[in-house]
Amino acid sequence: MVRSLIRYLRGYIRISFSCSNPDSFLNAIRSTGEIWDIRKVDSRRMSFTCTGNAFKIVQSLSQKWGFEPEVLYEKGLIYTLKKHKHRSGLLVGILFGLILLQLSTSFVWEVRVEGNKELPSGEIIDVLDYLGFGEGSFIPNVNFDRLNNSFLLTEKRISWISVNIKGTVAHVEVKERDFAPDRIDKQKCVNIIAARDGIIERVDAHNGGKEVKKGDAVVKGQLLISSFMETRKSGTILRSAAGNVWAKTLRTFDEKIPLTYYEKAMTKNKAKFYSARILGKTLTLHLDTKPSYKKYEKKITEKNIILLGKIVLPIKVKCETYSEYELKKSNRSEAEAKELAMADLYRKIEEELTTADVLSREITEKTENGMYCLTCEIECIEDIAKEKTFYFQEKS
Amino acid sequence: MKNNKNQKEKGLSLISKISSISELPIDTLLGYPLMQMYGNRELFIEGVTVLSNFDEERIFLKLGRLNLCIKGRKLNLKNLADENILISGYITSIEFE
Repeated sequence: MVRSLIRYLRGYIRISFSCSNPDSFLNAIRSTGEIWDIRKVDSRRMSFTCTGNAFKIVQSLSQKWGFEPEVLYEKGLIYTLKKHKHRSGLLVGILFGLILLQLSTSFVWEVRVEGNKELPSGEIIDVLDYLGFGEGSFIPNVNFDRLNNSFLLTEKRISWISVNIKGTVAHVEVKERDFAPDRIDKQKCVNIIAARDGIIERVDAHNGGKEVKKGDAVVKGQLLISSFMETRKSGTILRSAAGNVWAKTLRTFDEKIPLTYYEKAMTKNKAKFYSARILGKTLTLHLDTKPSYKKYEKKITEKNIILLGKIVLPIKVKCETYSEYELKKSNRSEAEAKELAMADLYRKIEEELTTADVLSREITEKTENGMYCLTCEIECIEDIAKEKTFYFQEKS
Repeated sequence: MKNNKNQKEKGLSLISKISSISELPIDTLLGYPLMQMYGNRELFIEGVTVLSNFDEERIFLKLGRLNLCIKGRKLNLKNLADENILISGYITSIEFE
């Protein structure tokens, strides 16, 4: 491998020659330099490979022997450069490319965030971007200590950060902050009030004094469990009220589904606009940035160019796809509308009456003004306790 | 003539004795060619004075006073540089003549 590379750099020539005694000629030239891959075609013809310098000696010797060696091929860097020496543009291009490559290694190609669990990497990259560090930042100009400190002052959810550069990749290691639990506000008190109207079935007061009993009719906002509690020994004491109050309530759910509606119908028109993001700078690859049609769906895809499946280049190709659609007027039958309304209704009941016991339900349906209306009245026993905070300050 | 041969043999045995006492390799004292063989596939010889003749089955070499004949199949002169030679192929025999 190394030998092949050296040979390529020095350049080599494959020669074929024919003379009366090729073995003797080979003996004569073997002190000129390295000769390899010697093959005898027949008793008069032979071919071998030698370096460029050795070839000059072989040529002068062959003239003395009275024959002319035939060059089969020339390979190596020297010969490639010689071949292209008149193509100065190519050489300038290669040189320019190499300079650009060397220069590009002084910039950040990629930012990788490690160690975050709750906070998304995108948000961390955004904060770093706001502080002037991101893809395309000139590495020698970055003051990492200042960057780390500024980041910690800006983003309170991070307790520790370290930005390390490995090659052209910025590895951002972070540790998320563990927030201390909220301080208990001793002046803050809680009353339990009614979330809606109902008739009390049961009061489970874990803390505080009961203000209602079974069979009482309560209205929304009425006090159910008070934070002021009467005791035999200490008199009135203040506690944050807690508990559940179960009451019989009547709930009404309404669903309205239009019988005439508009739906999206995609046309065949599609437009793609590409742009490249190189080292943090965006380069639009189209003259137009938006399609000619007005109603469209926009889809954005962005991907990095990866070399050999491993090397992430600092070039992101962004593709904006605009798909045109038209609004088409459609009608649905009452049965279809009912199906949709029932699905919505069950979803709402599932969400709002998770812990409630449903006693009875009554469904009424009607169609008016092009709308299918579904009304569901549910009688149930549910927890109507709702916390209401207030501040209490004793007069000194 | 016989005396000359005896003297030569005496000289050689003396050099081999010196070699065994001094623990110096005999090739450095006598100027013998060095041969290194990698299995039966490659043979490296240092000290080739003349490459007499070669083809795919036989290679004739002169190594100072020694005449060497390498026999085999698909023999190839892989590398030749001054007094060094590297032969590749299926080597079946090495004969000193």
